[in-house]
Amino acid sequence: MKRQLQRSVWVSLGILMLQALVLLIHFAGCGPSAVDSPTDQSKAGSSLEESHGVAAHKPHSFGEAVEALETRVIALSTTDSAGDQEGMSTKFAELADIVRWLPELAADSDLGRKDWTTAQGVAKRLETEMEGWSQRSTPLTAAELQKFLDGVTALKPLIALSDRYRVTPQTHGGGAGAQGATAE
Amino acid sequence: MDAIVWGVVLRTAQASVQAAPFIFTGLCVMGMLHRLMGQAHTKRLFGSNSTASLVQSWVIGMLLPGCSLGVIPIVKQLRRSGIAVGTIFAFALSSPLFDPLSLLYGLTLSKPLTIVAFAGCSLVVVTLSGSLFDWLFPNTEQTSEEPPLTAPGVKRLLAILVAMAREAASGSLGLIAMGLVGVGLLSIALPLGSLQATMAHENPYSPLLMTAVALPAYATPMTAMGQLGSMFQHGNSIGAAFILLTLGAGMNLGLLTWMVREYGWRKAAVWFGLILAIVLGLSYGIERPLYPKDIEPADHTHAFDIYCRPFDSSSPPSAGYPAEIWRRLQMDTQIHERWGLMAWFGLIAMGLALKALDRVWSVEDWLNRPRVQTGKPYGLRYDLVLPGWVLALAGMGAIVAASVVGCFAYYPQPEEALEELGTAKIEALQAALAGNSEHALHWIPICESWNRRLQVGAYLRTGRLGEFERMKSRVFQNKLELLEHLVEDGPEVDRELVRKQVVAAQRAYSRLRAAYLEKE
Repeated sequence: MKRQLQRSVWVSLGILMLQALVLLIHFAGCGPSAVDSPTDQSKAGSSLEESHGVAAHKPHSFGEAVEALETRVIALSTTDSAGDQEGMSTKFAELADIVRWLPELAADSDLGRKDWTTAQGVAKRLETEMEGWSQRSTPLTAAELQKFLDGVTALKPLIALSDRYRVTPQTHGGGAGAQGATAE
Repeated sequence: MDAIVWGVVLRTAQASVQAAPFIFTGLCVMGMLHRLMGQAHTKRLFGSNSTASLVQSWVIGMLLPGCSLGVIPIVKQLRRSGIAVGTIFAFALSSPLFDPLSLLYGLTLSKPLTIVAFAGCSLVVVTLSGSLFDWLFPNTEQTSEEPPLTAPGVKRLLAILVAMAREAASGSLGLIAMGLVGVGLLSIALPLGSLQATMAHENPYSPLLMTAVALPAYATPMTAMGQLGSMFQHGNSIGAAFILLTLGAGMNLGLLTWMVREYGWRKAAVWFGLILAIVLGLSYGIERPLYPKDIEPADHTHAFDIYCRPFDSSSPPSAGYPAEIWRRLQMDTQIHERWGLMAWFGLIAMGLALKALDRVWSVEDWLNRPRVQTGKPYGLRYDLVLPGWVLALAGMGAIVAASVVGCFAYYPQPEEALEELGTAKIEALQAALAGNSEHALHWIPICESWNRRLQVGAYLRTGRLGEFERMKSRVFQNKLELLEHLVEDGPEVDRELVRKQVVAAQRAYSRLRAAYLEKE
């Protein structure tokens, strides 16, 4: 019994040491991005938004998002893709991101339930229309553009309702993460 | 060095407090199985040495609220009841994963399907590992002598209490202590905040790293579910989340030590190897299919801070480490944990007293003494004498029912949750504005917790959670997280930025409140 107990303690210690070794290897720098402390991380130069994975093309507000959709989709219908196919598909992907963020940006505004539901419905419709766009490298056709712009037009009346108070975009680290931070 | 040693003390104490209600529940279940159910009926309830028994054990484990430490007294009783190893391990691994509180929490996350998939995967883990183990080691059922059952009446109830007290002060205490110390020792290996930038979805080593962290770590089902929610929200590795649930919540060093002690290092190593292989295989298999597409991965999370060193050696607490530990424990301990701790310590004290008393008098002799027949009919007309196994089943059913009822208390009506959230929010925002980062960092997680409880409370009462409300909660959560990161920067942070973020969080809260309180 005593021997068995000793054995079990040794096995547990063995497991513990093995894990300590894995963790040591990890935090010694052989593993993926590790930091020593939160302070060290903040000193690493990454902004608040970057540290939270907020993309640079994320609009600050619902109004900005709607405007961005319009300008970006028009640009995509007129740009000649011959020179930069990779850049074209990135732009399509960014447009898709903005559409995906619409419900969240609308919720971060003064829109009521009914208007938010409208915005969410339009976002879903645009998302469906955009299926497969992220992979393409050719400009939009006139019909595709018009269909998309119809959706954007449906969102425009909501902009005024979404911004009943004065909104000043944040400029922390130059990013666009803390959208809607408002000085009332 | 002081920061490390006192960090171990704090982490061990925090884990003890969290585990106490579950350990007490585990002792209650053990007492009922031991003194009411009896070995034969226990074996019938759980089954043994068959695939059906593995599923039975998984179902019972899912229903009973428990944690990996509270399960120790129960598995010891199952062993005494002559149940096969695979079945015991199936129960031991599944019981700590979910309880009604944590399941509700999980089902109201943005991707409830993932939680259902995790539950399904846990069934695969226990049935596959149990079947393979029972096939490799077929004769692991071991019967032991059963004490005579106590006659019906008050003595039978006392017998349960005595069994619980004896178990609380037995070898189980050492095993539980070992599990708790594992948490403390883990904090030595993990520097302060060192897991904040880990467990990324793109990193193929995330599940492996989580395996190393999760085994000595201890998490109650609710803690694990909260961490899972945070991992989904931050776009962390889904495989690592599954490992956190199965090994972090389901395993600890004390349970492993018991396995090695009871079955020998070879069998324990084979079982552990099987579990590791299946869990790791599944975690890599589900990584892509279950990864949420609409999440922007963040490379920063606080979900795992509780496993790391709590103190920064360069800035020790002004009032000293013991005072700081006491302050943190007092602030963090919830009412059910306080009662659980008192009940657990009470049982340990009673068990030790009974041990001392054994030299002169055995309470079991008195409890098991046959009733003296007086010739009069026993008891009152409606005082039915029920078999022990019926009472044991009723008792366990009552525990399950109490945990369901507990959900309504833990997740109150939205109005009440909003009131609590409002109070916590005032504390957090005022502290952030005043530059009191310690106070703000204490209250922001409380706000986050009430934000979640608000959603679950609404879901619990109406059976649904509107997309509008869900999105408002998400926006408020995002504002709180950004504020938390700003506050963490300490005195170097731009005060104007903090002020703006406070205003943004306040507005998000007002909109959240309006969304929940408005009539549809």
